[in-house]
Amino acid sequence: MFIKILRFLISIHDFLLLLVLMTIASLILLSNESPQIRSLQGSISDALGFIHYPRKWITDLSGLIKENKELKAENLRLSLMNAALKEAYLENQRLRTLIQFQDTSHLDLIPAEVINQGVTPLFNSILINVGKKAGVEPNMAVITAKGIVGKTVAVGQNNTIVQIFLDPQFRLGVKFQSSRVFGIMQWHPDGYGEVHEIPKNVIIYPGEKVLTSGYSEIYPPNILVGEVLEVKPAPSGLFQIARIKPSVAVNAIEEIFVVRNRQWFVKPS
Amino acid sequence: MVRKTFLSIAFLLLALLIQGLIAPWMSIAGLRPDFLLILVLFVGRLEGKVVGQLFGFGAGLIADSIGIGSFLGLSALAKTVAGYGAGIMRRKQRRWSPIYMYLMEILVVLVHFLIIYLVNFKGSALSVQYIFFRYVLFSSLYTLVFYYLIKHFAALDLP
Repeated sequence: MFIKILRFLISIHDFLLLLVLMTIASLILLSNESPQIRSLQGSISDALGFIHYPRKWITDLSGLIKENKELKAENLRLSLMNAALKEAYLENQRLRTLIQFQDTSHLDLIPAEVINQGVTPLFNSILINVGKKAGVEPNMAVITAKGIVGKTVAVGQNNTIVQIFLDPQFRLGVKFQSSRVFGIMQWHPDGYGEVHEIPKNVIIYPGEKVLTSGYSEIYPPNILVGEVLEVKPAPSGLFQIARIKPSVAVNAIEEIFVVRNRQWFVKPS
Repeated sequence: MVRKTFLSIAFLLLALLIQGLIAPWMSIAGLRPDFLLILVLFVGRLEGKVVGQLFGFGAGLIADSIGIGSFLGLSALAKTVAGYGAGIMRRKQRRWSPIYMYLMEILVVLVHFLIIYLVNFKGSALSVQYIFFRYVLFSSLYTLVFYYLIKHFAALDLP
């Protein structure tokens, strides 16, 4: 094979010599600084530009890999930023709702933020970032713009533990908005509230709003609790049970209010 | 071989002298015959492609260096091609008809001047057609006249 190539090269040696001499002459020629030669160099560059394409293609390809990595990193960074902006937007929306709620409410409210959940094993609770310094006391109602959350149980200087309505020990006096029936709601382990001992002759429709009754020293009246999911007869046969879907998703709350005043409640003389 | 080399160098010096001293006096419309090219053609015709192109390269480079040619390297390039073309004819002279040989000689000279003038007028506003008819063709004919005259009077064994 090598011999064949060598023989072939020898057979065209005069042509190879021509190429070598022409190349040398061209290189000498192109080393001139005159405008004609500069123009010639430009024309040669144009004509032989395609030679650079494979190298450029390879360079571009390797550049593309690097660029792709950089773009992926940039994409991740922008995704994170986008998530943060969405978060800020949602927070903004929530705060706007809360501000509106605070303005329209006659209650004396202490704004707070949830900083932890499930802080005590004894009952379902959340930890909020206000305490005695902000005027918080035990047994104050904790609400959001969407409804009732629970009550304060342990108050520190700067933090407070709140028992939320998901706790089985939680009891709340409620009324059905349309049927005007009152009852005591307690939490059922299946995830819904239940109001027992509703007279059988009362008609309660699914979807009916359930509000706080106001017969409480802790909870102000007419705070939304949830809506009726279904009504079913009690085992005794004399009463019926209403299952309540809470209006507040406790796992999603972040900004809440502690109700400081209790002017709605008039102690019996 | 030594004699041929000395003869070549002697003729090269003579051609350079004629080109530098006499050719300017023979200028017509700014164009003059290229005696160096004529010598390269003869060397190529007599000695073949390798010697022809080497001689053309060397002669052109010297001409460019001493200011007889144009840009440094341009005459070397053009005369290398001319030497190669003339060398092709050496091997074909027994097989080609005289007409083909004449056409080949004209073609080689045309290509030589085409290279020279296209580079010289590169970047100018002159069109290729104008350069060809005004400079390339005229210079080629002028040079070929002297080429055939010398060939005739020197009685070289060339077709």
